[in-house]
Amino acid sequence: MFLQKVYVLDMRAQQLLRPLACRSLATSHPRAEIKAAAEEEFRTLEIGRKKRERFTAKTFKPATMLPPRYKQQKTDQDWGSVWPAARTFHPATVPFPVRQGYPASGQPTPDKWANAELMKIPNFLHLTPPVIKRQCEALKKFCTPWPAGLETTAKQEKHFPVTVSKSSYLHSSPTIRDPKARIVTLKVHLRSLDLDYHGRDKLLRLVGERYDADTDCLTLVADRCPLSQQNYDYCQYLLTVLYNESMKTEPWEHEKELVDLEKYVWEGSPSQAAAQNVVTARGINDAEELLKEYGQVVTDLHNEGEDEATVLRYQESVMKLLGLTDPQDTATASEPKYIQGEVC
Amino acid sequence: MMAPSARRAVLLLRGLAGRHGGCGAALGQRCVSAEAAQAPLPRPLAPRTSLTSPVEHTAEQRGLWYTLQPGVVQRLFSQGGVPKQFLTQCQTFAETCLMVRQPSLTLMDFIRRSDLSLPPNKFLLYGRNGCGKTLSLVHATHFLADTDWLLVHVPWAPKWRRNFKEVAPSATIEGQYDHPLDAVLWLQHFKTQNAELLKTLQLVTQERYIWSRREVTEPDTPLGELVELGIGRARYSTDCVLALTSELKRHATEGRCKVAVVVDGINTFYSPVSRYRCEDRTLLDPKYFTLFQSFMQLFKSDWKNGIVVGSIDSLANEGWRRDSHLPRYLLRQQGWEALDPFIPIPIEDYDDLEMRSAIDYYLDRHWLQNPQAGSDIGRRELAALSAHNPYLLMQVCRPL
Repeated sequence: MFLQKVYVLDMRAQQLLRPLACRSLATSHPRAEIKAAAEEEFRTLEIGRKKRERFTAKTFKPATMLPPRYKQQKTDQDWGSVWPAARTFHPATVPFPVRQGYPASGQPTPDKWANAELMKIPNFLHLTPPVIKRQCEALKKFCTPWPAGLETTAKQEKHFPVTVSKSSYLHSSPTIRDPKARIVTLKVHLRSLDLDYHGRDKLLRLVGERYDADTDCLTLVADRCPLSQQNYDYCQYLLTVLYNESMKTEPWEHEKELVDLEKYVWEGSPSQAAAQNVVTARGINDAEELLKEYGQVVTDLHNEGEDEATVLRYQESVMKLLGLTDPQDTATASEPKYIQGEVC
Repeated sequence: MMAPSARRAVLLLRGLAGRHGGCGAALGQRCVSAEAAQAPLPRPLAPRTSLTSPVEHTAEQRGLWYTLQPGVVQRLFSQGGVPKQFLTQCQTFAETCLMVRQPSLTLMDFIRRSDLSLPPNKFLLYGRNGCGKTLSLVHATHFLADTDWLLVHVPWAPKWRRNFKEVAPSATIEGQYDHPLDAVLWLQHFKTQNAELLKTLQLVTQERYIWSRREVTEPDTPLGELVELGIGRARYSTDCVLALTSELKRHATEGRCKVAVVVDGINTFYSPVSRYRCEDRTLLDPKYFTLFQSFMQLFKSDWKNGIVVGSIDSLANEGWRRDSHLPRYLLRQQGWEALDPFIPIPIEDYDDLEMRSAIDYYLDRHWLQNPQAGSDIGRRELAALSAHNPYLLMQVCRPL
């Protein structure tokens, strides 16, 4: 009878009926208690953390997005109007697919969408050839015609051998100036300067690294004065001084020794003496040709640098000098090397 | 003579035999690929030649292996001259075999055709590391020994500059330095190499050498006794070497003998630095070594009946002067002026014929255990791994 009464009572009332100590220990969830009472006689004691329900973050669906802009662009649109000035890369406006960046493991190269690499670097989408042409056409009215008589590079070099270049800078900051604006570069080809052999050699020794042998160009850079005008004057002065000093021969230049020579000279060298000895010992009467050829080969070996070809020529020349050439024995001269890739 | 199959393989590669004349290599490929799928490859015999003396070697023997008799190796190379790793390999194979290659044949041809009445011709071998300069010199030394040349052989010259046993200031010549123990070893080497010739030639000293108050070598003493004196008295050994070389030079000029100077690492003579520290803590220039001077006098062109054969090795130079393998760079200006004019003989890597021959030799000696080593693919792999370099091939084949 008593038990039946318990069934009927409300959960809250049941809780109140339970002694205080039991109330704190037992589960307070009403449903769990109903279940326990319905199914088992004993309440279950749960030890340990309850499994929390995982709360999934509320997904905010964005408002329906418009398709990217390039889908509405025609293929024959005027690109100069779309991208009129230098601008950070914008993937929706640029109509072609482009990928940039180091791919993550197993992934393709990152595409253009939200690509920081593409956005960081400068792009020249504002300078496509038609746009450049248009800008040139617009600038033409401010230009004067190209001077007659200066059509080719050769003519330009003949009349204007010296090239002076400087950069100007404009900042949009509290200071509009830039200290790099004082740098002046002067370039001139040595063939435009009227130098003899000694003058050229002396000039090359004076300028050192400022001469580029591949382009035959002397570059003087001046940045020691605060104003570019002063640096330009200094460059002019420097070129004048270099030229005049190279044309002079100082008395101490006659003390030039063998080690100071800029290139190998065979005449008077121990090599010539040795070759002469060989020729004398062999008793060859007219050995002029032989010695001349030998001298040329040794000079080439030293001046042009030593490589397999020059060493081979030297070998042939010495063989002739020592009289060891044999028409059949050309194996050393044209020894065929192994052909790469063939089965051995 | 070598087995017919091996000879045919060699001739096929040269394009001299074969059904269609020139495409011998292609023929070989077809044959091998047909068999490879079926059975393990037959072990090829090493292409050998039975001519044990280099005097008889001609272009016909190119690519073939000839055996050096143990007596020859003992007599000529007991103190070096053959690379150590190669020597170990020969001990493993229980034979000392050398491949006949073109540079050696050219060198021997030059030596045969040299006019001995003129100042000595100089032939210097050069090439990249591991191409076979030292072994070509070994071949040439054997040839010189068999053709009754008196050998003045320096097995590895940098040893006296870098790894000398002892250097002491010279007692006789002011400002110069001796190698007491190294000179003794070299005199023993000279004696072993030229024992027979010294007996037959019966050369005698022509000058009087005063070693100390009691020890004097009178003129007309056999050179053998001079050598024995140097071996016995380390104190005078370097001066003995100098005396010996001077005497030999004089005898050669007067036509009593022909002297061959063979130096491995000749560019080390013109190096500016050695390992010996003087009293003022500077490193000594090797030009003050009496031992070096004894041999450098033989490189001059003021004697006859002689020949100078050497190798220009980048390993003979100091570590910072090894960028190129070419002679002018390694010899430096001083060496060039001393040795010019000389004939530089290039030593290249293996070509196809030599590569095949080398792998056949390793297979014959059961050195290559991998069953695929002799196959087409295997050979190609070995060639690729070793880049056709003989030394690298030896290294690559070691664990196989």
